[in-house]
Amino acid sequence: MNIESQLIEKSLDGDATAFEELVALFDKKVYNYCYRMTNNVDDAEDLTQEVFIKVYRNLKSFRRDSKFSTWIYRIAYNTCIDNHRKRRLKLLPLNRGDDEQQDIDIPSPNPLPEDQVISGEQYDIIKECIAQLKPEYKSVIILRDIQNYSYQEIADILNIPMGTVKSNISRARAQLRNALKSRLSGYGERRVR
Amino acid sequence: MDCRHFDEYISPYLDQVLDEKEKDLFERHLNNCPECKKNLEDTRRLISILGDLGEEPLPQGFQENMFRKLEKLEDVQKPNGHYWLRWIGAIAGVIVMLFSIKAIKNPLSMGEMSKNSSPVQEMADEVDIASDMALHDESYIAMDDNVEAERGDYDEDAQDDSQSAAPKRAISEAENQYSNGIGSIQTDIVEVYVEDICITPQTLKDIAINNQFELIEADDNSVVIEMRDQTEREILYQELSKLGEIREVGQSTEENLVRIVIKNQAKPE
Repeated sequence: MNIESQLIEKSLDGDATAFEELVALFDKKVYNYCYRMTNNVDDAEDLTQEVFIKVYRNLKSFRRDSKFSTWIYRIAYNTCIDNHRKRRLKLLPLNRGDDEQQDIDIPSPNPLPEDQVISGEQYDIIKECIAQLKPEYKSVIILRDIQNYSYQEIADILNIPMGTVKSNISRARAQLRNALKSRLSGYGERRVR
Repeated sequence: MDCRHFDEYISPYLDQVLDEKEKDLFERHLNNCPECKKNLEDTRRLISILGDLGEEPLPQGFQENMFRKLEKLEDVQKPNGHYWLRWIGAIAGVIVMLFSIKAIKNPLSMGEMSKNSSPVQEMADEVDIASDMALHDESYIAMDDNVEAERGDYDEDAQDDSQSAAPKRAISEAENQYSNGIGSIQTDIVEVYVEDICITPQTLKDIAINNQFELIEADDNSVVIEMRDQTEREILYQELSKLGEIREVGQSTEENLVRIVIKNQAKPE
């Protein structure tokens, strides 16, 4: 039995320290996932706590036939989606149709900045562009390109077919690429003027 | 094929998940298309930028805060309230079952005990069911402590309602419970009448996650879940009966996919 399974067993027996250790194995990953999903440290902290509280309460229903990390990520994804939905309901009158807006690609003739360190301001622009993707796209970008999960793992986490993973990754990157190109080149021009 | 089509090849190409034929086709196109080649390079650059974003550190005191929160939640449930709620659940269950069994077995004379089965056997059945309900109560508390206070009342109300407003339904459900030992979802469309507005498709999604059901799709008021075996159908029945009154409205019993529709309204009187 590996450490993870041992910790799960002990947590189920009511061992609080074991559960703390179990949390420590995943908290940074889950927090970073939530942070990229929300682009806000406070929301990310709240959501991460919510995720682990759900994990704690539902640990006994975790079935051993899937990976524990997959299970936690799926809870994280659903928690973030739920949060997004609630927020959208609140923001709807001001922010109508934000999803459609994202589908407009404004390609720029300039290539992405090559061989240079990303500056603080550029880093913020990148975060903003990620934040503007729709949650399904954001999720695959985070899991694939920031956290390095395989296509198969992403399919398991999000519980979607492989074909959907492929096309979502493809479209998410294309959208992000075009958004970044127009934002970053605009940024460059302003700096020149 | 045009460039829009090939744009979809860029990502899988970079991640090396294209098959040989597609790869060949795409590489041949790249040789003749500077536009796609540029997009390929930009996507490659994007992936490298994203890879460099790295991890953000956890906020100060993250773990302490969370465990404090968890402990607080635990305190609410333990130690006495926990057992009390279990017992209240069990007792309420016995009372409700006693009434419904009498009503079903002998609808004309509510006060009389059934003559067909021995009272001892009947009591034994009831205890089984009651302890089952107590267990449900416990897992329900674990799911959401916000509603636990209302839990007892709500449950009894719901059961009482089902007797007065829909006696036929109550009988068929009870028969169902006796024939299989436990209820199960059988058709492809199920309505759940809930009074608690906090119950949303997200609640159903959580149920799906917790029980590792295959969640197929979800919209504003329903979800579709794949049922892989009888056990899952029974678990789903138990879970849904905790939310409200179940009404099977599907025509087919052959489908593996079950749509669960949430009805945010009190059941018609």
